[in-house]
Amino acid sequence: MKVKTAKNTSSAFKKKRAPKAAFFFLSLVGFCIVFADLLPLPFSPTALDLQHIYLPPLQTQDYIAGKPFHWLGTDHLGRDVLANIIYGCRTAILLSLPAMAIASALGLLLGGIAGFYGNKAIRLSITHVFTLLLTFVLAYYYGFYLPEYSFKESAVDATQPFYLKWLIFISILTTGLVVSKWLHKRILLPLNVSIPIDQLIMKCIEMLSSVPRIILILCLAAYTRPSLYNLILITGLTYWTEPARLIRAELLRVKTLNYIESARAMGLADFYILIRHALPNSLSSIIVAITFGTAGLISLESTLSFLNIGLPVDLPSWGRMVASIRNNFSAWWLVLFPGIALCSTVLSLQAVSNWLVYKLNPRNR
Amino acid sequence: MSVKSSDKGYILEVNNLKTYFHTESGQVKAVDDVSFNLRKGETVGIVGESGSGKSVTSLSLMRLIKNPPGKIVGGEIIFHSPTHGAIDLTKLSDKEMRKIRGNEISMVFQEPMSSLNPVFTCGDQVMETILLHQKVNKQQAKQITIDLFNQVRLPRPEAIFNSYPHQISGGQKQRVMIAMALSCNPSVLIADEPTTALDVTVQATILELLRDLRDQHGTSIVFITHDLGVIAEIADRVIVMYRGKIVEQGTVWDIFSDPKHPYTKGLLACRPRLDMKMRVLPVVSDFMHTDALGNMTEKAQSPTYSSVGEAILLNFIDEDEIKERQEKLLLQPPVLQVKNLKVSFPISKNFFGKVKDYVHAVDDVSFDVFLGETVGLVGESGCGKTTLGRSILRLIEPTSGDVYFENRKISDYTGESIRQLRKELQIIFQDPYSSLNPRITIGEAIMEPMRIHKVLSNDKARKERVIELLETVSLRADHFSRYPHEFSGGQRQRICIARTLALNPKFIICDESVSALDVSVQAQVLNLLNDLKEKFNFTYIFISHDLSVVKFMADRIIVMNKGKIEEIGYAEDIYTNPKTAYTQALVNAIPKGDLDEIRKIQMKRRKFRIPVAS
Repeated sequence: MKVKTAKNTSSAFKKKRAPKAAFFFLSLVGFCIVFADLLPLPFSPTALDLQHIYLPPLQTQDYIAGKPFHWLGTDHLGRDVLANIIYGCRTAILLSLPAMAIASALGLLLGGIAGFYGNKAIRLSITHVFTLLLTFVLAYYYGFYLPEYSFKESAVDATQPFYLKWLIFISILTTGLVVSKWLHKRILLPLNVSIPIDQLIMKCIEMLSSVPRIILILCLAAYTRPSLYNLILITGLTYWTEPARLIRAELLRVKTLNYIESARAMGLADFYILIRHALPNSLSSIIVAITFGTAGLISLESTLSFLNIGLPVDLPSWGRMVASIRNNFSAWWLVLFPGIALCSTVLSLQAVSNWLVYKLNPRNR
Repeated sequence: MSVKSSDKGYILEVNNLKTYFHTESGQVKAVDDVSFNLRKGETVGIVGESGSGKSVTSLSLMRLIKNPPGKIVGGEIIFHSPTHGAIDLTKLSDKEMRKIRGNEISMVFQEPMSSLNPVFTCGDQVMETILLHQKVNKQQAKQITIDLFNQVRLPRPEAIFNSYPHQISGGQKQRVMIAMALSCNPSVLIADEPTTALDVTVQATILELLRDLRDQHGTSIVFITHDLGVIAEIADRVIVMYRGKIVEQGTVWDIFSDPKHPYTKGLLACRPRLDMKMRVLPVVSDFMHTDALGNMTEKAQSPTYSSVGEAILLNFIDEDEIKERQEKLLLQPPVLQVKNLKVSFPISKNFFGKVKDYVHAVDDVSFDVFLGETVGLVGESGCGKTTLGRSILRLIEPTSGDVYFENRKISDYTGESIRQLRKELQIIFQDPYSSLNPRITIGEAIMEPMRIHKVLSNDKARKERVIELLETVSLRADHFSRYPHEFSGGQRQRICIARTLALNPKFIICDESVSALDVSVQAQVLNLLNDLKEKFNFTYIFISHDLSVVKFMADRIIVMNKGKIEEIGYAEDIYTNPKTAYTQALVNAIPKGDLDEIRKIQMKRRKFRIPVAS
């Protein structure tokens, strides 16, 4: 009996209190992000107060009403911890959400295609494959390689229109597509090859994930200027493997279910089935993948700031604060407060994802 | 530990057993005040449909109810153990219960496929039980195991001792399970649907084995099944359960010859019969009425039928009428022609990826289906009937051969037009639980194919049509915005049927469409399918492993075996006059459940029972 009551309370907690607390915390974070500039903070996050470096938190004896006061202490340059935590929310979310959006969009698409279509379902005629491969090479050459080269030669401003390259690239590709359609009709090569799309994508994932992620990001970051925009791109383009793999595994299960076959028997198109029937039923793992990924990215941002790469130095961030403990190991507040903020955000995201998964199941409506 | 002993020769006395489950939506009385006895050497059959509490009863006897959520909340189970005397199983500690389980009371489960651990050899698993409960060394245990394998008539017992479960067939696995259950010579054997997952011919041999073992060892058996035909073959006494309660118990003869309770009458009447053709199947609701709380009342005012016999007499179709229909059908044009269809799957490839070996799931099959006809496709598992059905729809691509639908080759349809073809050719799947997307309301699910194929002009008209369809399959308009999990298995199958009808198809393939349903629900769905046939002049291919169901539905039957057509003929002829040995074996293996059979079996049983009684 005891076991049962314990279990009941824990599940009740899971369903009611945890998501409420998580929502409360996340809305607090949201509030900080939006209204950080309007908050009556005594210090700006980048303001240096060199008279008060390594000030421990809540030194109330120094408090004089009406004068600015470091509630949660300061770091080695006398920057206010409270202000940094509040502004750090911005950095954390500004990096992780767009990066996760890129990663999950890529992951959904590639994982979805790999899992749902497998190695046999997509068949292309040899003419298509041949002409497409050929035009891809041509398009890349004239679109990206040649302009780069010629621009360098002619010493024109390096910031030539970015979209022009893409325009050339895409127009050559479309021409190739039209040509291959035309060829297909004329030649009528009956030979069709199946594209092992699953294998291709999986190999790609394996390649990406066999390099330790932090090293990969370090290498990529070395080539680009440290900016939020670049970091979002880099993390987004390396983080998609996990959602993709999860979604692929889930789709492998879902696609054998009867309602998928029955949809096929109804005459629905494959892509429609994937979007309408297969993906919604892998929703729970998609949500879990996205929230865990977001949580991971928030920690990654802290890690990168800790390592002092990636983010511009003047951007307030939780990780940078934690990093500053390297200079003075007795400054525990520099780890504790940002650490609490980081942990709570990650936990809240996971609690909310659990709640979402529960709520999206029609059984629990 | 010991309680009063009984002098009536009982081995198991169950008094007022109550097993409740606590769920989020409240308490479920899975077993509600159930009392019955089991004598030495007797076989009691517990029969009931899903949710009747028969399996929970058996698990309660073994004290295998998972807690939470389930719990035995009342009653006693007195077991007269040969070694411990009379004991109440509900009061034993877990440790004491472990000594009883597997040793004095043992159990055979439904799924032989998943009841054996795939990483150990069959012999190891049986030896494990022996070593656990008996004081023998490994060598002796092996000898006992091999003896047991001989007893359960496994071929090459030595070889099977060293085989892994995936290397032997389903029937053989169930024999290993029985050997395991019998290994410690238990006084009570609980068999929970031991033959349900098996083919009929295998089922017949397993039943025979159980009968023989019971007679040799004097084991008492509690035999649980949903199939009244199987009960008639093996049980001495029958307990009929409905929603956790026993509604009737009596000797097998009494239950079958003179059922008292309306539910029992309904169950007996709604089974499709092999010996005659019925127009409609009687259903349980013809006999009784269930109110919202689950209380049953006999339909006193104007019962549709007063007895099972009457229900059958009022509905059977005479031979002249059958013949007339058969002649009329042959004058119709063939709507579907299958010519030399072959479907093979590669099973092994050589180093360069070239396929070395194929398994021929469908091997050179040809037949015609005429307009308005129902063709039954019957065969055991693995005979290729499902593959055949799917390759007609091109859900599986045929390897060679042609299928013509309305004189047009199905392989000519490509891309867009194959979807148009699927509008005309529809399939109803076996499992109503997984053939509906759980995240889409049933209204949407039915509307979806209409939208894709642009049936009707706008969603408003489509919605009206959906409601009309729901009413056709006797569901209500307000079901439109509900989700699949809110419906029972039978209702879901109706939804699937409604979904199929949404496209106004001409031709429907029913792939084991009623196999996952209870008999009483099965009867309703079969009647519905038959009504629809009359109303819309559908052509059906009805695929099932159950010959009696196929015979009820079909005008002609195709018997398949190992990918080939064994026999094609009129439904009546297949049953009365099977031409091949395989069909004959198939027909003979079906438990008939008629009174003559019961009498024969009970007479045979008498001979064995006399020494037990004395």
